[in-house]
Amino acid sequence: AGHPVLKETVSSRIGPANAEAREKEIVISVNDFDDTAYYVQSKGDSLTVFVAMQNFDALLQYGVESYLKHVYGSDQFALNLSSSTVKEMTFNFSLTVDLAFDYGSEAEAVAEKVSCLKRNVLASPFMWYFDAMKAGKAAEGTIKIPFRQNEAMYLKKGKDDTAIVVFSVRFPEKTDWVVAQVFLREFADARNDSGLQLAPAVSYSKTAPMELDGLSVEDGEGVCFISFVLFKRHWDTKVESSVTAICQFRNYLHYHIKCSKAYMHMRMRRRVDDLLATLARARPAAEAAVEKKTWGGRTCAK
Amino acid sequence: TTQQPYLQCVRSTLTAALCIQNFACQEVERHNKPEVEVQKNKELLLNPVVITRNENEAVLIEPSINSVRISIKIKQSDDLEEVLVAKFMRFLIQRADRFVVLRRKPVKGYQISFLITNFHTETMFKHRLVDFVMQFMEDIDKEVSALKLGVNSRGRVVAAKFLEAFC
Repeated sequence: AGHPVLKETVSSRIGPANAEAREKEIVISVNDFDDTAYYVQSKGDSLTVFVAMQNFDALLQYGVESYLKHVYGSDQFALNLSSSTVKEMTFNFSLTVDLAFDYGSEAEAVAEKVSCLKRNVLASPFMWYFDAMKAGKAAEGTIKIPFRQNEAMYLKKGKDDTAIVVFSVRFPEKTDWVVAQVFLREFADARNDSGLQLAPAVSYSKTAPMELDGLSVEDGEGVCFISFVLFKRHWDTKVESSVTAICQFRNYLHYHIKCSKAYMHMRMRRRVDDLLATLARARPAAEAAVEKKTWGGRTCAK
Repeated sequence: TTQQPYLQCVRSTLTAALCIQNFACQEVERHNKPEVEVQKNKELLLNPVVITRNENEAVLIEPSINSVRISIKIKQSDDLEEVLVAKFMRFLIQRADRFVVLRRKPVKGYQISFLITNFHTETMFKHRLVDFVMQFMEDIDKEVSALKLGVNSRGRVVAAKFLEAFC
């Protein structure tokens, strides 16, 4: 679930085994497709990751600070939640990791934890809201979690211990939308399958569902609203894996749409080659294959 | 199923229509144009024939003295098939120079068109050209159904894998 660049950077330099790798200073700047920027600086025994995320300030009100402090609470991490500027770039927060500490067999897990920074930030509003639901003190009304430039997630308490998550997803191209419809139909029908009885109920529509009444929602061509109804076990006992899945849903959907398109292209290319082979059969065998000779036996060789 | 008689009819009509010969342009000296594209002289154009299987599938054959234009209307029963056919046709039409006989723009009302001129029949076997067009028609249908199946099965797997995380 984590960011592969961050994970690799940390795991190649962490622990006593990698003391030699730590001697070289490195600076890595990575940008994700949703405009999240990471800046990794490592000199000697500590590594600092600076992160800039879209709409981070709007997320702070939803318990980001307490959740991050809970995940990165151990002595080997130092979390700085104020904005800082590095080399003319502003970042929303940073995490410093002590690399020299002997984590033993936990080293991989630490690298994974660092790579999940974005997931943890996005998960915070959910954890905060679900904790409130467990205590019976959830806020009435819908909360909006902006996470991409013009897409957002909405969270609301539903009836009978359910929680409703609504995604507003954009599909700029018609092909994307048509393929997405096929996928979303399968999501909605998946619960009929015996193995998936416990899965959340999924539905989708081009107009905002009633949970979003009264809120200013995204609109325009190509916007679709996808609702997940989460049951008690999803926000109570299986909360960690459910929230990870929820945070990654939008990327997962788009990734698979693009994979479908790539597969279609591959098949079409193969078909083009087949058809060209059929057409090539229409040409008679090349005349140049026959060497031309005069009656006297002389040839036209150059 | 009406597919076999439909294809058989197209094949025999095509074989008959492909009796084309070289014919220099009557208006302009030293020019040689495919008369079916120019459409100026009525005496050089033969009657166009439409072979319809149903309202969604048809083949239009427009013969003339030195060229034949074949346009195919492909069955598209839903949104997904429409998108797939449009993508596939665009893919093929962009490679029209490799498929010598393909037309770069389909005739209005059809999804794809061929233009076969006397020069093509001089360098290629006529019966093999007809085979090619027939193979093309069958392949498109097979390909579109295969692509649709691929998208549907992928959708099932994508949904199942994702929702497993919740169970």
